[in-house]
Amino acid sequence: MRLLPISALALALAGIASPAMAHPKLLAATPAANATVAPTNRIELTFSEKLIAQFAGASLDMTDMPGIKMHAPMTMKVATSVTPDGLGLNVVTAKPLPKGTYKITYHVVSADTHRIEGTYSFNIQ
Amino acid sequence: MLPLLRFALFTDVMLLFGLPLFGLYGLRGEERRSGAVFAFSAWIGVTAALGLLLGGAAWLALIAGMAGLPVTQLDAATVMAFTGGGAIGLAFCVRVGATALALLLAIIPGVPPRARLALATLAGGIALGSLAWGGHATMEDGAAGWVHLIADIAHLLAAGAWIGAIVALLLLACRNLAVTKNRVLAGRTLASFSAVGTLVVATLLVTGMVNAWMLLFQPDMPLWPLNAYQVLLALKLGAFGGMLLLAAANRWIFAPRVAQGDGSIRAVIALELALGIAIVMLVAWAGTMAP
Repeated sequence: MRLLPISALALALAGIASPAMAHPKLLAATPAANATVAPTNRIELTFSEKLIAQFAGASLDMTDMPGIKMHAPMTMKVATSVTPDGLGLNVVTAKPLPKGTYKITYHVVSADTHRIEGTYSFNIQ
Repeated sequence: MLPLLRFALFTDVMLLFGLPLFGLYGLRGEERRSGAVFAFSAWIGVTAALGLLLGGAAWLALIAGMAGLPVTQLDAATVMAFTGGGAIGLAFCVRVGATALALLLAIIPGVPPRARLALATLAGGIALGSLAWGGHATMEDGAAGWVHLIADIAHLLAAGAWIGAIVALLLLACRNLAVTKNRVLAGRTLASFSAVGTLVVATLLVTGMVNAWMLLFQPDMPLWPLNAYQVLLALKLGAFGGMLLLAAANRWIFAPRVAQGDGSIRAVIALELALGIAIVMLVAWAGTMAP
């Protein structure tokens, strides 16, 4: 956390804490972008700002499956929910995802009404 | 679409607040009666009605933007859920209520002039202040959030007072200054605005600095090269500086000349108004992008 001392100094100078940016940013994701992980049924996204649950969602597509020539991405059935602290978006499938390459596409709106969308891929092995 | 709607809504609600407020501190006694100097009832009525229309349209555009849908595909359930939940929805409902109250004030006959202006100023002030919930001021939690929010509300009210005063003073200065009554009224209101104007500028400066601090001086945000938001903010500061220069020129050079029937102040106030409107436009635009 190289930024921590600078942040602490900034907060001390301001006398008030304001670490938020005006547009939500994806801070962390499990599985991470382009990562290869063991089968899981859960994708966790963490953002820099509180989200409005009503406007948060994601879709998951299987874009490649080992040994099978895929014609079109296959959309997986997912349930999405915003974590109690408002900063995370959880994407859950009924069963662990089979081996393959997946693309997750998310859209969230932060408390100050700004919408962002994003997408990335990961592999299950 | 949303920046344009926001611009129209901000300008309208600033006038709904700023014009009756001017009637309270700038005019006296009988001058406050609607129709004596200004058609206050019509002003309040039109700005309130427009405020309801523009407010509703901006609300739908905002929700459509968040849902990622065109306005035409927005369903009632989404709108109701967002309007009924959270601080921004509550602020919208308060804004609608205050604007509707202002509209009633304009229509109901027999309200004493001073009471009508005071209530319209209050309703307009509530509507204007509520616009703070919809910008960047709602992005922090706790104490920082409240500081930012209060600064934003004060900033909006001061801006509304200034824009309202500029419009009122321009209208007064544009009357036939060969008529003694008009010349005296224009001269007096221009002179008396200097105290209010100083307060307004001081409020704008202090609250503007608080907001800039909270939005721009983030640990992981580079201040150079400027991003689009910072460019808009720099333009805004330039326009604000221009307004200050023009206001100073009015106060010390052009306002005293009105007493001699010299109307050269009109062009200067008009330019000040143009800069003020440009600032509202920049803010309406900047509020929809990332700092």
